[in-house]
Amino acid sequence: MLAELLEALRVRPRTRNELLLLLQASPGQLEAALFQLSRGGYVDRAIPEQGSCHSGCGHCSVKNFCPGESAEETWRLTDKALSRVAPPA
Amino acid sequence: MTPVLRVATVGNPNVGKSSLINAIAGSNLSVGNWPGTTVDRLSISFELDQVHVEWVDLPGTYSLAGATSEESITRRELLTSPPDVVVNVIDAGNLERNLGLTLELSELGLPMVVVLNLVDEARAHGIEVDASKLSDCLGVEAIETVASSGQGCAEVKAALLRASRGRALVEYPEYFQAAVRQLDEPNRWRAVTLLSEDVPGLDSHEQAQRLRRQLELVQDPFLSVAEARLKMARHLTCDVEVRIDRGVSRTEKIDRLLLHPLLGLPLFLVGMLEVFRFTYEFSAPWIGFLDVVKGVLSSWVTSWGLAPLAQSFLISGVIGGAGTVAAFSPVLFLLYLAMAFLEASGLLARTTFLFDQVMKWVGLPGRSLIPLLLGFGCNVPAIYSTRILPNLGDRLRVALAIPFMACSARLTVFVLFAAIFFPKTAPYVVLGLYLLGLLLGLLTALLMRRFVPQDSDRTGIMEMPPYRFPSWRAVFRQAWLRTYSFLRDAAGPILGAVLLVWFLHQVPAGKPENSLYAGVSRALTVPLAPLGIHDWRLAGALMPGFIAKEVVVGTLGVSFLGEEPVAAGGLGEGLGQLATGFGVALQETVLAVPKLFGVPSAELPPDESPNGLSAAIGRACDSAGALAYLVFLLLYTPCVATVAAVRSEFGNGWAIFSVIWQLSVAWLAGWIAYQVMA
Repeated sequence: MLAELLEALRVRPRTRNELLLLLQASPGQLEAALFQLSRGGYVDRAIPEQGSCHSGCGHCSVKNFCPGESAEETWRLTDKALSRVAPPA
Repeated sequence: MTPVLRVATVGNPNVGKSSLINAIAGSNLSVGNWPGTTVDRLSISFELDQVHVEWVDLPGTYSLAGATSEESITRRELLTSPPDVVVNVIDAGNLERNLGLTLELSELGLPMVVVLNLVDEARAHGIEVDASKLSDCLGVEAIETVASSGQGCAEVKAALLRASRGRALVEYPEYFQAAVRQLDEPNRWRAVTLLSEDVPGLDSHEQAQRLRRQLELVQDPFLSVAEARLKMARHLTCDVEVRIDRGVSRTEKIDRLLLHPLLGLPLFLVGMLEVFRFTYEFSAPWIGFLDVVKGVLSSWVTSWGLAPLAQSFLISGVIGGAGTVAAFSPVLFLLYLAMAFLEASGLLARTTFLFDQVMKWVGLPGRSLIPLLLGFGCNVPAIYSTRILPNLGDRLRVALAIPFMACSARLTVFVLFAAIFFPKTAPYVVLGLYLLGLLLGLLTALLMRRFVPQDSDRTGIMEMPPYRFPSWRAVFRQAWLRTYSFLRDAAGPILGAVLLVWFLHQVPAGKPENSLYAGVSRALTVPLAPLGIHDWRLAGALMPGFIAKEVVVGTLGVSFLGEEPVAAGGLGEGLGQLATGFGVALQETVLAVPKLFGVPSAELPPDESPNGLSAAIGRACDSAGALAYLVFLLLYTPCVATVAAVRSEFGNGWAIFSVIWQLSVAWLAGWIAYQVMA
């Protein structure tokens, strides 16, 4: 599970829903796995930057205040994980 | 000699550990429906079948190897003073995630009882856990409970005396198992942890470091261990849990509305306004009644014909001081009642989700809103509760922001001044002050980001508790306990400060305006003059307010009413006034109910003659000066206890800085408020 999760995030940051579908995991399973990886410093929450948001808010000036953004909980690999998780041969 | 059994509760945050202890031992540990209610080691004791039980309630943790200060407290307790029995409390609705900690506890090798709490909620979500099967798998007793109603608690109590050690179930990869066998460490959890990660307070040794370096050449041992534990948790969950699809849950339906991207924030603001309207509308009649009581008692004292100094001591010092303490009770009780309801229902935790983006804007995690909201009750425990944040830099920034949160002691001054100077818009003025404090607190946190050292960002998972309709008994009990605790701790200092202020008014003998107190207070009006505060009695009340905001109203009472003559009154006349006052308060309380649900009235308030203190304050400044005074009072140092809390958590330097910062912000914001209003 952890290896698949790290591999999925190595490709690009992903939302919780994407990860659930991709890994065919239950919310509890995913939560437990993200917790372990977050505790070990392998993953963290990615905060969308102005203008690069996928949710259709575009350049909305109050996008960063919008609670709808936090529903799209996005996870990414940390530098520590990137240095340890080798890309597939 | 009575044998002693040491018990410790360990579990994930917000699974009902404190509720379980309260149900079993009849104690009053603080409970709330949000993670991080317990941030310190708390203990209680009771007798069980001629055994003296010492029960320790430990902060919630997801792992024994966690890095936050709360997690360290739990780990230190289990490693350095291992209890005779560990009670591992599990949320039956989140079995798989909770089992991670259970598996670690099994490896620790302490006798254990597993408590499957919140089974009622799990069933409501279509989740059924087979407790006896779980018990067979883990090798320890597993008991179903609903701690809030006491269900299953007798069984837990009985199981304490026959607790057994659990089986270490996790199967690690062979390369790792071999290293565990080689390591000279009898405790399996210690061995596994030493070989897989760095844990604060867990000293590694040369052999462990050497073995770990060898393991790292094969695979990442942290990932191997985490993977093996997750696999076992999954395996156990599949074995003992049955899920039935019951569609969208009640919690999800409510969350769709309350956490809606557009409706969420307006609904939150309406909710906050209702809390303040509830507190203001229902407390005002009873504060008025307490004024009647003070007036009647003063008139009786006057009728005794005592010497002027003795009469002044009794009326301004004793009755004034006691009256100040009493006047806090309705406001505090109602605010605590509303807060207890919000906490226990799960609504308070939603605010952390709602404000997650706002908190991110100031560079803080969403859960840092919880200490800030607690600051609305009292700043001191709020500063200690910053321990729920893993990052020291975040903790410091939140602690510097908390003093701007208007604690309940400040509310009494707000209510008094708002009623005098802004009678038509009093709830809005009070709400505005609260929001101003929150805004300036967040700006402080944002500004301090540049100056406070930041650790590496380790964002956690935000947990949303399910909605629970709290039992009214528990809510009232919580509100009463907090009010009682506040009054018990504050009554002495308030009375003492009021008597001291009265004494300083009398030195040297003569008119109060020539007293020592008045002299110092007049000097204080110089820096406060640009804020429209020219009256020495208003300026003077800010001095004891530095010690505690609770004494501000009492000090104003002594300063202003010392000059008001009190007419003598008879016993019958006084009793009549008390009965009438009580009837009026009761009637106004009933009339306040529809006000809560309607649009606030824009009509002029009924023509009421204000009481002595209100009338005197009303003459002391104009509304612009009053607003500036409220803003200054909101923002300057809350009390010495808050400064002491910052000092104890972050050191002298930051404590001194916080005082200087608060005074500067308070003066500047007060000046702006005065300029805008004037």
